[in-house]
Amino acid sequence: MELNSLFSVQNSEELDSLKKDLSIELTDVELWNLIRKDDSEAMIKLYKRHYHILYSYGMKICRSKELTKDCIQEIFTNIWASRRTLNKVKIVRSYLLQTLWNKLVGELKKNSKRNDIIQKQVYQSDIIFSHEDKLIDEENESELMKRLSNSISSLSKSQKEMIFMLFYEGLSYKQIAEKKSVNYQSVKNLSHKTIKKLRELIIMYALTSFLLFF
Amino acid sequence: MPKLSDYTLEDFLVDESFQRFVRENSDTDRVIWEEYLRLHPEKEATLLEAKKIIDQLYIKIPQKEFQYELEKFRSIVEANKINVPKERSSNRFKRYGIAAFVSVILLTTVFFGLKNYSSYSESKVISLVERTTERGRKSNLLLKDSTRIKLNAQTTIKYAETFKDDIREVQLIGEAFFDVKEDKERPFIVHVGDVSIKVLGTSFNVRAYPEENTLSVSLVTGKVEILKNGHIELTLTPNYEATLTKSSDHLIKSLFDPKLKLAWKDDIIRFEKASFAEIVTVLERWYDVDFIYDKDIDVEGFTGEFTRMSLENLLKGMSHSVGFDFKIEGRKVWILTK
Repeated sequence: MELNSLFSVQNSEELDSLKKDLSIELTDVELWNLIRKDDSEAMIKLYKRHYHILYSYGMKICRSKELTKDCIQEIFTNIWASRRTLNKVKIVRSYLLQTLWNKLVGELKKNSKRNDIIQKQVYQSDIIFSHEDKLIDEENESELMKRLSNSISSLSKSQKEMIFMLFYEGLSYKQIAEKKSVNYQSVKNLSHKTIKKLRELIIMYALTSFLLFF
Repeated sequence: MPKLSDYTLEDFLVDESFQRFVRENSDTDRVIWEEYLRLHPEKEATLLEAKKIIDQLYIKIPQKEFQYELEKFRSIVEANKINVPKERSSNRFKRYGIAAFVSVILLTTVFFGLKNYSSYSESKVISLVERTTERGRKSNLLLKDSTRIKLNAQTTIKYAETFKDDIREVQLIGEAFFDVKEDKERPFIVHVGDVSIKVLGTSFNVRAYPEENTLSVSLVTGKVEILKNGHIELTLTPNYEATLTKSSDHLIKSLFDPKLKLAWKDDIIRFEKASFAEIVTVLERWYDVDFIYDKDIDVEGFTGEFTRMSLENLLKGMSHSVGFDFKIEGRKVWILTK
């Protein structure tokens, strides 16, 4: 790290607070460590940084605004309440998404008679764009949205997973390569293929919507 | 990382800042990409297509709703800043140690504070009685001399367990209504900071919340003297009140409306041309809740009366005439301006 050599900082803690003073954007892990030391500003920052993604993900899972908001609020509240005993986390966003998933599924199981469907789902990619097994009513959705979801659910499993990692977990190619234990180039290739497919679907979607209007 | 000027559709899509720009429309990201378009107008089509694709991948929360959730969370964080439950017992000892230390300091302050106030600074042993009402509570006291005191919420009163032969003294923080038993030999004195209220036998209300800018003594029957630093400043007759503005240290005498001033002791909440901040102060104390609201909320002097009403019903009544929405969650009340 450049800062290290620049200021000859001894340990990472010092570096964290130095970065804070210089108002350099802290990484998630740095924020996480500050939260463990009672830094409420860091807590708010982390909240702001990840809220939108969590909201989007929660909505994809349960389609209920209220339930999604409540669960997100609860997750962050829990983090703050137990900040002194938090475990170290490698990738904060993945951790948050996983926690939200667990929580939502728990809530849905409590309230739903459709246990079978929920149990069939696994954390992450499947749920995001699978249309057939949507958990909660879809009456509010427009015809167009349905068409789009339908087409997106025609992506392969690994393509969906790719989308999840790129657009939800916000991982870099390098991180994805590490996570999936494959080499960098094959991640790039898959990403390229996925995006190409996605693009085709969007164009198709735009076309259908065009046709529907006339 | 490719150079920005060489960005392809895919590069836009996987760019964190770009994703965030589409998803959250945050100012910082928007500035970046608007500037980018200005410098590279040839990229507009690609950028817009990338935006379209990402738009399909997220479900967005309306900005207003996000701000609301954020404020909610902010107050949770603020509220739980100090008292962190710790799981290891060794830490607990430390905490109790600090608590003990703090209470010793507090006791000392009370003791020395009292010495400054009263004429019995020489006496070595003072056995003090302290009564405190929490927010949301009121209580009645009957002293040994048959004086009756009603304490409003969030009020503390301190007095010697046995009054001296020549004087009866109490210290007050908050609001209380006194009905003092007449005793010409032993004046009754209420101390509030450097202000003292000296009476023989009478009934009056004292409102002296530290967080409020004014202190008022409202006399119902009898006669009282208001002293500052030991000097008589004002003498009150019934239906008059003395108001001290703390910021200017200005003491004035005026008529008061007993219906408004004394409503609290009959469990009535009464507002007259009250600002929203004033209403909130009263309700927080009365119902032991915290309000979270937009400081700009505009209430043009609210007037109303509520007798033994639940907070929810009270707010329902108010919300129609003032024009707000509210949500009660535990001890928190969210006020949403329409």
